[in-house]
Amino acid sequence: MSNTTFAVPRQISRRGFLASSAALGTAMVLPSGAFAQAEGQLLLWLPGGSELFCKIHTGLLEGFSAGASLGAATTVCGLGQDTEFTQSLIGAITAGNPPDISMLWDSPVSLGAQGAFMPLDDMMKGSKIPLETWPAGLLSSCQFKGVTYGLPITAGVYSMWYNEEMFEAKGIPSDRGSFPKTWDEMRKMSKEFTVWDGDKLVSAGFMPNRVPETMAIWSALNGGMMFDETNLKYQIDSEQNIEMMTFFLEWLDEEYKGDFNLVDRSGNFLDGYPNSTTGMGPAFREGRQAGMQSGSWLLGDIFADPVPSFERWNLAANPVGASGSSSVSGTWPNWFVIPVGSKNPQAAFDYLSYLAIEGSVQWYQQIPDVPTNSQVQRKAPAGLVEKRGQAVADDITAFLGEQAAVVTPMWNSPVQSFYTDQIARAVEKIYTKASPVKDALGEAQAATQAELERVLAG
Amino acid sequence: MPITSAPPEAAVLPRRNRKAQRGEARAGVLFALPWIIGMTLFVAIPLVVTFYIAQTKFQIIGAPKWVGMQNYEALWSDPAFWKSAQNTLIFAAISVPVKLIIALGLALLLNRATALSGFYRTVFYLPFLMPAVAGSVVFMLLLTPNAGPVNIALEAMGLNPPDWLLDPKAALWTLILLSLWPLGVETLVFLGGLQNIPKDVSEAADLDSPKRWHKLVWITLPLITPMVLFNLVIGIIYSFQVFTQAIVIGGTTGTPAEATLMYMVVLYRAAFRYFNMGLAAAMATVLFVVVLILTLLIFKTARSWVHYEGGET
Amino acid sequence: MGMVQLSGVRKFYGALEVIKGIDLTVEPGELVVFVGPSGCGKSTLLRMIAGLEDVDYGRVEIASKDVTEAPPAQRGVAMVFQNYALYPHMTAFDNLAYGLRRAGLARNAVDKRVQETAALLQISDLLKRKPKAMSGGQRQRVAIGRAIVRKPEVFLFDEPLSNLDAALRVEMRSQIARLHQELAATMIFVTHDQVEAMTLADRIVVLNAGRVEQIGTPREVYHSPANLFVAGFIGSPAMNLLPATLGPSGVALVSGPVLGGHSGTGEAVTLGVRPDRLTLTSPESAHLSGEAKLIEHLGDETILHLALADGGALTIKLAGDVALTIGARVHARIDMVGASLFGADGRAMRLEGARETEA
Ligand SMILES: Nc1ncnc2c1ncn2[C@@H]1O[C@H](COP(=O)(O)OP(=O)(O)OP(=O)(O)O)[C@@H](O)[C@H]1O
Ligand SMILES: [Mg+2]
Repeated sequence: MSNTTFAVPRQISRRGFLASSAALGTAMVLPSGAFAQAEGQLLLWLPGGSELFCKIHTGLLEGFSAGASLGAATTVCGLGQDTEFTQSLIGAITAGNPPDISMLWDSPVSLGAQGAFMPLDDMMKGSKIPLETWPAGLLSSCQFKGVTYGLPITAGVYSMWYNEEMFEAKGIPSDRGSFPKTWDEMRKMSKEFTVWDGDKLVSAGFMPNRVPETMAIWSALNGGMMFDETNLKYQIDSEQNIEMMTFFLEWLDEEYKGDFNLVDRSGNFLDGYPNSTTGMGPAFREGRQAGMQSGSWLLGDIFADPVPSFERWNLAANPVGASGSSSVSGTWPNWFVIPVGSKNPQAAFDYLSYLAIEGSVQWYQQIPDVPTNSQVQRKAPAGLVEKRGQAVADDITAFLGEQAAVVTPMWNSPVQSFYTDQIARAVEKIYTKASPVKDALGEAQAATQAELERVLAG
Repeated sequence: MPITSAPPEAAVLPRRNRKAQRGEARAGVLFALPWIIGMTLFVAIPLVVTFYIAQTKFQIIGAPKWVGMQNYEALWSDPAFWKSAQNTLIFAAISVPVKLIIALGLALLLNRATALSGFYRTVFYLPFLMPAVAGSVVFMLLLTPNAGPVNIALEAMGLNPPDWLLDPKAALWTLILLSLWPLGVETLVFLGGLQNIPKDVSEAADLDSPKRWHKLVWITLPLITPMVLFNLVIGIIYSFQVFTQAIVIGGTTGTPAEATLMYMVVLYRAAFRYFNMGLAAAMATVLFVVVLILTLLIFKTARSWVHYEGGET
Repeated sequence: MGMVQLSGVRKFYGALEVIKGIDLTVEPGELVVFVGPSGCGKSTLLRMIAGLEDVDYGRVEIASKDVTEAPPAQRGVAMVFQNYALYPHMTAFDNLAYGLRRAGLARNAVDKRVQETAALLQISDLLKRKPKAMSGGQRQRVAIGRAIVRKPEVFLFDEPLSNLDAALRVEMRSQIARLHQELAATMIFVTHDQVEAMTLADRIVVLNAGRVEQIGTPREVYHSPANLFVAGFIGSPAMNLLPATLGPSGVALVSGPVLGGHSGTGEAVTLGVRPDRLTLTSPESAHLSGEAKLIEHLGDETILHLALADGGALTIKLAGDVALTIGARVHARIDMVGASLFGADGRAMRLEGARETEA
């Protein structure tokens, strides 16, 4: 038997409404099921997601509990996505009454370093999921100073998405192998697609990146990094990063009139979802944008409203910057942690092992969050098979698996949120020309480094 | 033994403290006790705890560690603190008076339309039943550049509307504009004050001068100054704490370009995003002191401009 | 100093007509009192003159100007309200000065006028106080001051003294009478109080259910009530109204006795006799006999309430302190001088006796 409890059922994209959910959360009341802690019965908290997402996890936990002869399991869904989920979780941990397992949509490093989550290293040794079965770049998102505080069971994998039909219409080869390998190639090709009608952007090629979370990927593509974990030093204003932002800014000026506002007034060229602020539809799905970077979660949503105006699209590796040498990928994982104070830590860990190898396959089939453990035998998402056929679905699945193996570390800081906000601020300043690239990155660097040192100090 | 004659009564007997005789005072304290306990539990203790945490490093998990004035020093050199303080001050300085004036105007209108005022009163209160988040989202959609209904309408009228929430130069002003909605509570408070003015006093004013504005300025406004004071103080307290609209619109970074970065957003993100409870507590303390000083100043000046029905001469 | 003229004035609250067509002229310098039972429309009529209520039909003229549509402040009227209606946030001085200042009078002139008025009403030492710090009588004087200071054509008073105690009322009454003399102003005064009406009025307007029942000097309405309503309303204790028939030999009471002097053809009438027009007498010479049910000893006079044999009641006012006990059998005689006779329609009939008292 299993229980499911919904706090606020919401069906919104994972990246959407982060801010609004934060505000909603302040008024949220936890359902009583959230406090069903008991020995021999697993209690799982999920930060959000659709009803389907909740059903999958309820089912997985239920199946596992039955097989392991545990008592009735409880899954609490939709506790909110962002800071308010963290608030609830911290509250439960400090009260000594946490769930046995919690999914996180924020890196476990910050709170792990504060001692909120159980270190998993000992339990991993000799288990079905030892350290070496995880892609290092991915696992680093749960590690701080060599201690593992959680597991990135599945992940949205960032790669380039492109509209094959738009490519072909311009006579550009649309196979994955021909996709631009460098930023320069990408920028050059982009111009072919970009059409302005006065101040309205009718269609576009690619866009300079402005998503704070993925800036670390672009930095790595240019041979740089944002955070040097080994030396505990941020590198936000490194040569490579200044070069990167200068490249983006010049690109913006050259191709997009130097004004993202004009771009945003013309449609949502930022990601593959309707914009939660302006309500504008995604230009990519509307066939007005040749390509973009996106997480793999879009695989599950792209066939929903608004339905793409074209049929064939594909994924390709992220191109490399002038100072970079090889392509890398990035992820936004679904982390799982065992909070300190769990009543059933071993059973919880056993569930995570099960989830990492077997459960995540079912999960991926229904919602395309890519399973990350190297032992997983991935099966293509059912929806993708249905729409694009087995061959394409298998190809994309295999491609995402490859990409998951080359992820760059990007969630490994104990001051992750602070860093993200500082990057967001710097990027805005750069693109609105409120600050030169160097100054903006320098400010972010100084502030973030100071915050890191403050947190790390005794 | 000599008998000392008693001094004349009037010379020794102190004037009786009629209004606070001891029994009464005891009963008074007793009646106020639940309130006093409530105040202590829910106001005084959190306040003291906040003051204390403001002087510690406290990352939510684990124990607070004493750091003295470090958090205040960090605040002093934090651009986000200054930027958000500036935004919040501009916001409050414009939003509060404009809101008060509009609410007063509405209340005056409602006070006249006697037949429909019950209906309108409900209508004005309705927005309050809508969560601020939903309201903000609706406004964001309405104000979308190009495709949004507001700009379509303005462009149709031949105007050149701004990008509202997307333009760093316009975003704060847009937020101020949005803060004017809803203003049902302010209006209702004013309306309550207006309806409390005795009918005959208002008629006496009609007999004294035929000009409406004479009555408004010399009679009506002075008589609702307690409501003006109330709305002013509450308005200032609330606008210094503007949060929901700001975070829905600008996220935790005050998009665009920190134009909508409000004090409470910075405080909130420090506490629950950066887990820097010490800094957040220091910010809360600063806010508390500023609002307290402002409120005291207003109350001090209030003596000269607020007419209390129960007041002395 | 102005004349007030109402012609065909009517007022509706929704479908309810509360003023049913009133014609009235108040002469310059006259003090007219509106009396009538509660809810008869006295205040409404006064407020229509002031401009505080719309006039639905008819015209209002003040000082020969049609002011039916004019705002209150432009009618040249000042009003004193029952609850004073002082501006609570202003000192007495400011209360008086407000209207003058708004009318644009110079500062010195305002000061002078306020001080003069305050002296006239003996409120000079109250000028710095706010209404909260004054007694009822003091507030009333300030309220009257506020009316006077603007030198209006017409003063309107709506039960201004009803919130005061008896002694203060008497004092304020004489003050108003004095003001009326000194200012020679036109005044309209609404009151419930008979004594106030009788002592203050040049003329009394008796209102009932939105209509004028009688207009006349206090003596006229007292001694020659125009109809049964006025007869029953004016005078305290109220006039005795006795059913009778008017025969060839005189007014025949239901109980038998016939009072001579008038003649008729046997129609039903009502004989109105003021309680002081009855005297105690022997059973043989009595017109009426009854049992004493209630005896009010007022010191200089005694009021007897009798139950008559036919079920009717009779009130007798006797001079001095009369020693009688409840239950005693009392015999009374009617003095037809000053009696009134009302026809079946309730209107007064000519009665020779009544004329005599007027002379
Ligand atoms: N605003 C109103 N709406 C409806 N009816 C009203 C209103 N004001 C007064 N009335 C009615 O009009 C009639 C006259 O009222 P008014 O106040 O003039 O009486 P009044 O003679 O002054 O009585 P009182 O001696 O009790 O003061 C009453 O029947 C009253 O109920
Ligand atoms: Mg009245």
